[in-house]
Amino acid sequence: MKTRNDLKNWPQGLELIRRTPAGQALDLKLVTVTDLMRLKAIARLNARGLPPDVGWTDLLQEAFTRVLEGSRQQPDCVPIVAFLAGVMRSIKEKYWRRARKGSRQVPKLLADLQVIDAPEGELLDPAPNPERRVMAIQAMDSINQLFSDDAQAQQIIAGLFEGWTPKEICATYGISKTDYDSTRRRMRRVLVRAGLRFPQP
Amino acid sequence: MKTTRPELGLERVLVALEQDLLNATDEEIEASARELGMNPNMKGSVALFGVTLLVRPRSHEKNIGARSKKASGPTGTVRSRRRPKEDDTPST
Repeated sequence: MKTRNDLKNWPQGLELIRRTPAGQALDLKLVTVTDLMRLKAIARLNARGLPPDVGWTDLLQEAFTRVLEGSRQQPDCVPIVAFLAGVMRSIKEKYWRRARKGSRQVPKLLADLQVIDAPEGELLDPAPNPERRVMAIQAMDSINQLFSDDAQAQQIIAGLFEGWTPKEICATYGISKTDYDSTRRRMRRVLVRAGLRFPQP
Repeated sequence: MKTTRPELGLERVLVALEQDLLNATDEEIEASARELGMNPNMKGSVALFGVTLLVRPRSHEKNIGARSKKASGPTGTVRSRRRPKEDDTPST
């Protein structure tokens, strides 16, 4: 039976965190306000293709935490923003490695629980899991949406997707070097705006 | 014909676009913020929402963000909940 004291156990809903690892880094002058805006855009970009329960703020704050804790140390020759971007990428990769490992253990767990027969001798798909594939397709859709009114930008995205060099992209789509460079500049502006906009497009 | 795996293609695109963001000048970033009506130097600016100020569900502790929460300090930074009057009455 509920008593009045149960009020203490009620969920308080949202939690406001005023002192974040990124904020601490700003206070310590490790980064500037502009660096933080750039990193926000990079974090939002890198979070594309991740499941919804792993947000861009998780990536960003975790990267700052690792740097502040000293578990990741910035090499002298690498600027802090590029370094933190690399840390975010490695966190993301680690997440997917863990997810893949987890999904490989599912058949064994089900066999242990006698839900299915033991999967001994069964070949597992070495490719990333289907969820990651679906999320990648959705993320590519949303990236293409950002450039929906720019045909050349979409061609460049398609070329990057295939792993082509700028020269190959220009040759395939008949784009001049000047047009390629100006399109990349346009894309950069769109990316910066999309990375800062609230709420995220 | 060889087809690119979506997850691999996405990673290639993200790496290239990330490089574009790293190459953007400070002026470009500040100008974009201003165009969006943001003043990043103002305390509590929406430009740094999610960066220097975070709002998340209180139960959010299960994934990789949990460590950052720990690093951000205990609940001392969070406004305390108003205590109901009933809590002060001695239980019988």
